[in-house]
Formats: sequence, C-alpha cells, structure tokens
Amino acid sequence: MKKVVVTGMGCVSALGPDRASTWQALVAGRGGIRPIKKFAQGQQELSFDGVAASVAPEATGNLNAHFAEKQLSGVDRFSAFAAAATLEALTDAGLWPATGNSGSALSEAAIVYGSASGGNIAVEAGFVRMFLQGMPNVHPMTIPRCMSSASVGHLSMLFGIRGHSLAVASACSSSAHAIGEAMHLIRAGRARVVVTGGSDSSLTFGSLHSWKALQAMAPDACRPFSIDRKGLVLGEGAATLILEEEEHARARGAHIHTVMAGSGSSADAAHITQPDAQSAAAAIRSAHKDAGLAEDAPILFSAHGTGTRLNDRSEAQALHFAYPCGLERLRVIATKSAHGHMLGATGAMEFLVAIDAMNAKVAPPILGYLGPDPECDLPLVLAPEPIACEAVVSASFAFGGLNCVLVARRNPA
Amino acid sequence: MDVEQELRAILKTKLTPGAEIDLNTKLADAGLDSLDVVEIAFDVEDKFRIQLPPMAGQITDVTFLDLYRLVEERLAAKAAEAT
Repeated sequence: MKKVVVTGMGCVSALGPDRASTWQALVAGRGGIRPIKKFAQGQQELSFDGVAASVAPEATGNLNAHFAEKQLSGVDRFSAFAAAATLEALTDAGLWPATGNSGSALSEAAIVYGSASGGNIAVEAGFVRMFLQGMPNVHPMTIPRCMSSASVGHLSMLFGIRGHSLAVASACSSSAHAIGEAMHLIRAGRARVVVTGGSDSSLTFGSLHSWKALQAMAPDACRPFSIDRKGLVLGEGAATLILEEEEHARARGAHIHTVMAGSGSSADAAHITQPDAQSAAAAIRSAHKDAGLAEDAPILFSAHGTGTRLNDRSEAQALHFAYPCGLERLRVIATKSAHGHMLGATGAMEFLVAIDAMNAKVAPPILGYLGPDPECDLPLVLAPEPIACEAVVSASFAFGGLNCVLVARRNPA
Repeated sequence: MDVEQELRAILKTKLTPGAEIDLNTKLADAGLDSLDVVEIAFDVEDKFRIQLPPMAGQITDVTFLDLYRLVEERLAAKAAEAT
C-alpha cells in the first residue's frame, strides 16, 4: 500500500483569500461572521436578513493574473472558489505554474472534489428571470454553471489535469469524503497526485431562506458546544489539499505538510437531519483504526461543531463513546465559529486548519462561547493555546447521516 | 439603436481579445464555438427583445452578416406586429 502525504494546501473563506490570512484571523480570534442582507437577484422587495460569513469580492482576484477572461467567463462562484484555493495549493506544492515535470505530474493527476449544493447562483438567476421578470428563457450557461461537478471540470481545464476526476456529494461531509477517497486512490496506486477538497457558494436569497426554514440558523453567531447556542451560520468558500504519494513527493523534493494517515466513514441509516452519536463514534473509531492511531494518543480534534443544539450534543456524546479511555489527551477546536458552515467545503477547511494548527503548535479558539453546557462536556479550546499533538482528527457529520473522519499525523521528517 | 454596433459589442465578449470580425466572417472562423454562439444568441435576444432560431449547429455556415440580417428581420417583424 502506497503512503500518502499532503504537499500543498490553499483556501478561501470569509477569513481571507488564502491560508496565511485565514490562519492569522483564526489565532487572533477574528471571525468572519457579519450581518447580511441578501436580495432576490434584481428584486428590492424580497430579501433575507440575518448573519453569514461571506467571502470578499476581491478574494478570487488572483485568478485573473493566471487565466484569460474567456477561461473564467463561464465559472460560477463555487467553481471560482475551487479554482482560487487550488491555485494556492498547487503553487504551494511546487506544481504550478505547470512547466516541465510539474506539467506532466499535473497532466497525470486526479481530482476528487466535493460540493454540497453546486451552483445555486445560476439556478436562482434562472428562476428570477422566468418567475419574477416574466422572461421566456434562462441563460444557456445555467446547466454548465450549476452542475455539482462544474468545479471539477473547471479545475481540469484551468490546470491541465487529465486523470481520474470526479465530484463527491455527501452534503456537509462532501469534501471530507473527497479527501478520504483521494487518499485511497493513491494508496491503491491509481494516482500519484490528487487535487482534493471542496467548495460551495450558498449565500443566495433562496438558499439562505431554505436553511432558515429548517430552523437551524442562529440569528447572531455560531457558538459550538456553548450554552444557549442557537444554530449554525452559513459560510462559503473552498479548501484544497494536494495529496501525493510519499515516494513521488520525496523524489521531487516537495515540502511535506503532514502525513495523510487515514479516514473512516459510516452512515446512520436513521434520519435525514438528526445525527446518531453511535454511528458518528463508529466513524471516529474506524478512522483511528485505518490510521493506526491509538485512541489515547495526544490529539487535536477538529469537531464538526455546527452550533445547533442537537448536533453539538450528539457530537459530544460521540466523542465520549469513541474515546472510552477519557478525553484528557484531546483538545477540541470548532472553527465554524469563525468561518461559518462552508457546507461542501467545510470538511476540507477544518482539516486544513487543524493541520496548520498542529504544525504551528497552536490551537485556535472557539468563538462566541457563552459558557459550559453540561450536555457538551468536552476539552474545548476557548483561547489560543500551545499544543503538542501527534495527530489531528477532523470530523464531518452530514445530513443524511453521512459521516467521515480524517486523520493526519505530524510529518516525522 | 445601431444594430451592427450593438452586435459587435456582444460578439466582442466572446472573441479572443484584439480579434476583429468583418461582415463576411463565418462565426466558426472567428474562433467561436457552439456554446459561444448560444450565449451570443441569448445576449442578442435579451438586448433586442426578439427570439432567434437555434444556431449552434450552423456556426460553420453562418456569417456575421447573416446574424445581422436575421436580427434586422426579426426587429422589422416585431415593429410590424406592434403597429
């Protein structure tokens, strides 16, 4: 079985257009959640008022320096996020710009990329045209923009990637599952470099109202595991990791961020929104087993931590089930409190942030915490603190009961 | 409204920067593909409030002049309907 390492990382979110700005915001306890007023496109009478973690308009501007206007013209916002995060990750990995060896490595590379919602903006623009503006047709790029694999198609075209490429959809676990599958592709010898992660852009009038209708949205802030937490706050963006066969990475002298040690999955087979703590615990145990990581190892645990009453309670139970030896060696972070719930990007984002935390030996704080909830008795990181962990475990527990847990180990070299 | 100038402005959004198109240039020879032409037709329909027939399959035959005449024809038909 081939060993897998992470050689590149990139992200874009409300915290910033890249990894460095994201990390600076996180350790400083600066969140990206702000009041938002979103109108139905072109309609001033219909709006959504609430809070969200929006990406700044200029965050994907770097794409213009690398690609022609025509290459970017049919790219929906969620695909643009994917492209921006991947541009940073491939540059970080030393695989971009694609010249000589890096060009052939990219040509043979694979893409496994997640999205929960695809191109909501294109779909809503079509509805607005037909139902509100009375137009007889929708934009011809509606389907190419909104399909959930549009991001994968654009990554392939923009970066010249020609290997096994596909999208993964498992709601809020999409990008975690994508990373897990990318790891397995390399382990099996089916690819040597895989571009993986996820992106989503769901801060649209219709999408925000749809989440509100679920009664899952907080009116002010995301407060994971806190008393008086009131729900999730939507974010948007993308996170990309470059997974690479260890031998391949060492042969070209690539910097290795971390060892991609394992993943574990489970499905609840129970309820479309309500989580199952035993099933979540099974995914955590499965990830530990796959990675060969002892349950009593010192771990930085990047929680799913949505900030909803039921999800956080269930996740806290899952941790107690998964670690019967006790949680003393764990430190738990929950960064949705800063970058919001990035849906199909969130698993990759939280894994990336945890890897950066492990390497920086500092854990970023959970924001918005009002006080302990006896139902969420966990070793939470509430202020930036020094850590000495051997591995990170990053959990994603999605609607539909689709769970995925990722493990990265400190690079021994 | 100068129809030719409006059409040139719409075509320009899909042409390679700096590329010129004269009246007898076939759309495919100007470097446009079938999806470009569908998008151009959509923008033309929006701009002039007319409907064009499907053209994606004919880009190797249709010239800029053909497109221009088609738009003039549809605009005239629309004007006739309105009177």
